[in-house]
Amino acid sequence: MKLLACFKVVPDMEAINSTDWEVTDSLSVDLSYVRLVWNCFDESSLEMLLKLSDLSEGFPALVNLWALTVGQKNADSYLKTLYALGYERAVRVEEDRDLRFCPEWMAEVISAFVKKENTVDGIVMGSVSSDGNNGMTPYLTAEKLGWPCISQVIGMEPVDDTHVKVVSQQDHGNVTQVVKLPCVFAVGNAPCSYLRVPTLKDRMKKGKKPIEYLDISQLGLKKEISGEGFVLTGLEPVRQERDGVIIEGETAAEKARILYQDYLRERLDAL
Amino acid sequence: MAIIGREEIVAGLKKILGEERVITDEQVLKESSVDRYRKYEQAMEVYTQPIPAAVIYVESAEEVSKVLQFANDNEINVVPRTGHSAIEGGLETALKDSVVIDGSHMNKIIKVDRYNMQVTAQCGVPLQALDDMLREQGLTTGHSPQSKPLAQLGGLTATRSIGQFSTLYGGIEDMIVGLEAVFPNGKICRIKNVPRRAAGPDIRQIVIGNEGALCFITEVTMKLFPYLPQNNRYIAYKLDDSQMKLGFDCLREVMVNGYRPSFARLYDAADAQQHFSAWLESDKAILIWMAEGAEGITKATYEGIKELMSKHPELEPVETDLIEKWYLGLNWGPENIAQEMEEIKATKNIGITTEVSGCWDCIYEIYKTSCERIANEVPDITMIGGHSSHSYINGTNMYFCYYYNVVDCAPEEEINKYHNPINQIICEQVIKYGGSIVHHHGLGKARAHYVTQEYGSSYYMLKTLKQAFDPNGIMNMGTLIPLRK
Amino acid sequence: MREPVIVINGFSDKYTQKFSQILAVLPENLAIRKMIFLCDEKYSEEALRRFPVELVQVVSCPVYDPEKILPALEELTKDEMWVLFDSGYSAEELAVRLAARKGGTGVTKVQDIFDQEGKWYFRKMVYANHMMGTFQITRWPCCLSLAPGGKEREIPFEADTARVQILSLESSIMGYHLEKTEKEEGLENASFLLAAGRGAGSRENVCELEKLARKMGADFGVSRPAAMSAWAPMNCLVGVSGAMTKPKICIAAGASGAPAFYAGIEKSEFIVGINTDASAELVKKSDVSVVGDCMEVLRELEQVMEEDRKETAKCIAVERNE
Repeated sequence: MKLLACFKVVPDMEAINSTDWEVTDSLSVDLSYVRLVWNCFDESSLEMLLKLSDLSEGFPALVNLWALTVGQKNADSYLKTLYALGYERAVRVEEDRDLRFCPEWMAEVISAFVKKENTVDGIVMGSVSSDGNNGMTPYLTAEKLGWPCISQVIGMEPVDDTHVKVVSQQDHGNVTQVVKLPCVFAVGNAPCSYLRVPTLKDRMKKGKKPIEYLDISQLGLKKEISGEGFVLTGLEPVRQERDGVIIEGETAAEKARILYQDYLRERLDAL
Repeated sequence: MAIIGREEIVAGLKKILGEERVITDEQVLKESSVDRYRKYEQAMEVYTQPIPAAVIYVESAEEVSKVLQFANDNEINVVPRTGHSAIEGGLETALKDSVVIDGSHMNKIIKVDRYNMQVTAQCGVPLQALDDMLREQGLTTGHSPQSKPLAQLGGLTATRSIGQFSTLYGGIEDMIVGLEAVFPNGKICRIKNVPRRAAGPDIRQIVIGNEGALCFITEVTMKLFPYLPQNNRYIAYKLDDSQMKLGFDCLREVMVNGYRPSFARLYDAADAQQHFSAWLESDKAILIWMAEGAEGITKATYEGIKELMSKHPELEPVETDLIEKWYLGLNWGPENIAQEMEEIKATKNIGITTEVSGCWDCIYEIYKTSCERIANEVPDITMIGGHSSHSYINGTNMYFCYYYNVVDCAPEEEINKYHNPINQIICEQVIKYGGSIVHHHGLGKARAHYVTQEYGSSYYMLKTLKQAFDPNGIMNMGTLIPLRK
Repeated sequence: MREPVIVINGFSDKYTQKFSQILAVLPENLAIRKMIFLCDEKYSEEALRRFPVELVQVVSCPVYDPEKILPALEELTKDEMWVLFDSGYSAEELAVRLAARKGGTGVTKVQDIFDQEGKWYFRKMVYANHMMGTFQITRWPCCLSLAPGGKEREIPFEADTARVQILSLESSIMGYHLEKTEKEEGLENASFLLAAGRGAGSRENVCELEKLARKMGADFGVSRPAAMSAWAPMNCLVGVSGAMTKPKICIAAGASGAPAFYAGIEKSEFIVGINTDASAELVKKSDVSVVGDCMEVLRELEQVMEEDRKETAKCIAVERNE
């Protein structure tokens, strides 16, 4: 069983000062100085696959884990980490363009890779990434490949060589089902979603394997990014600070009355 | 150990402080039996230390005095505490039926004296609150340790803390001009605030760094400095990780040529990746300075350091915008602790730091050999590296950062399987090469058993202080001077 | 641009609310012609007929099975240029996948939609909710799903206006098991929270505040200093070592606004601070503050709320009598 994890590394959005959310001329935010982290839903996916692999020890067919990312060189150390953790292939499609709002393109690249390889049984990726917040790539990938898709996956267990038991979160509850591969799994709010950490010895032993680099032309794709149905036309910071209004009044009773009438009543009614 | 029982201790304390401020809630007591030295046990909610008899909240020096007299008469071990951010076991209640004296209610800023440039505040004032307030008035204490969002003045003074700008402002021992402390016999001592005096030894230094093993600090007066962030200038270079020796030499060069940047740091590649992974290659170390203060000074410092470093072709300049933004986001607040606890629980991967110091002629060896030994001798290490962050004319510190997976090991065994062996390696290497095993976290209880090696013949002086001020052995026993097992 | 077809997820009980959220993002005078209602086999035709639309097409499937529902949606929206989904997981998936099948554009988590000079735009949060992005739709047809928790507009229900058509599907999901999510308890899920700090002063006061909170319909929490004084049990702890809450309204009473506590209420939509000190950090970090003793202020506030409740009850009673 060959399972492909697609992931993205993103700037740690929580490590940014509220005053640094400034929009540049190109409708972007300069986050080049911010430390990178796994996109959290992708991190869950990567760990979920390792757990799946742990659980399938003793199964007749091995679980092979591959990892794919589309982006720049700064993702390489993350790919090496995945090698050290037991992923067998770590692939980076080289791209230095702005892909924040290009889910169609991203899905195009992933599905081209899967078609080229022709042996992938399942694709696992986070349902959304923090920067673009598109929440589309797994669904579009499924459509491009003509595969079924399970959304908001929070747990996976192996059943046999061609089936996986999946728990997913739906609007009305958690659903367990058995899925026949191939399938796309879009990972949601999974519990215990931090990726395990490889030891230095694992890094020395397994992490030295060379990363596979691919150019989009090798995937049979044209150079231009195409296929998106919307364009960004405006970007503005969401105000983070609060008003800090102080209610004026003579007595506690008066202040409480103003607080209730001017600020709370309507909000309480809306609860 | 106490000569009266738990109930009597609690009753006695209630008589002094009233019901409300004597806490015996079990969960509170458990959490008060440890600090972040046992953070794996904390994360797993396993408590291995003796549970204190009570946590008490004091509100004046007089109350502290009464409590200490009561403890002294009844030989009750007390652990002074304010912000609860200690990480070397200094707040562990090592003896049965201890009492934690919490000074965090004593949180008044007593006086901002602009003319004499000094501020007086009680022990429970959070440093963050104090410095934020001062900055609004264009002033600063110049003290900015990473624990700033948590730590309070009493604890900061008691542990001889140091901040990120120490190369300019010094450690807290250079900032405190006077203080008030209460000794086990109930004696309240005030050391007056003067610019300097030569009236015998500097007795402030008996109190600063006593780690709660001699007295309880109730009030401090600190120096003030003008806050001029608009003049800050940054300088940064990257270099190959194999060039760490050169990195230390560069730090040295800046110091011995008479420059006083506020911030002087050297990160090795492993540690640098924790901060700069967005743009720094994974095999690069990084050197950073910041000049702070009056405009003319920062300009001269900036240009001088640039000039010195231009002679090293191995250094590649880094765009300082990247550093400035990183630095402004460099806070380590409670939200980090919360996330860290979640991560520890999920991954069983835990990160610890140990800070040491050494003169220029040995710091590289300390760094290099410690890292090598830890990587080779300790199992399940996932990262080892570190940085130097406080430089002096004669040497610098080394802040080791290491992570390991806790594998096949009960929470209560973790300290012995991993943390202590690593500490031991670092201490052995430091002592071998002649540095100090503690730069700024305090000896606590974690490193107290190295105290005689650390002090050598001068241990006599430390021991005499302890015997003289705390003859009954009630002050934070096990800290500074190890318990005899 | 013609009015959209809307798709409502009837597998969850909140479909009326979701309908009213859709109304809120549409121009007021826009009539909705058609609603597609996705649900299992338990639905009330009668209830559906009351929706202010011409046609309700029920797609009934024993369980939520997107692989079966999508072809049906494709068929039912064949000629449509604009399909508007409600908010939620299934809405996101279906909007994107349906758009792909229609050769159009899918969009998720939309806050609002507007047109300008004949072009259509939507706005949504990006950069982990730190930025709001505006996007122009450049390719039609378009399938949008809404961001959860949006504004609502009252539904003008009428009697028996809508025609109802029913399409029944079968599911081929293997080993299906549904565990309905219980309404989650705990401070993390509170929508109205009263959190007290050490400024409350004593254990008795904290007990009183807890009672006041209950009367006001709020959940109750305390800061770490208060919990460490054993004024309330540890499971009431709000902040980094306790519950990280995200209520609609949070009243923080007698807390200083220290980072450890504030991080636990930071995600509140609206924060009311009560502190005796106007320069307290909490006051700066609140939307609105009352400077004063938190006990006094909250006692008064509870009184005011109680009076208002009685007033409202009286009004309703009067209306009934009329």
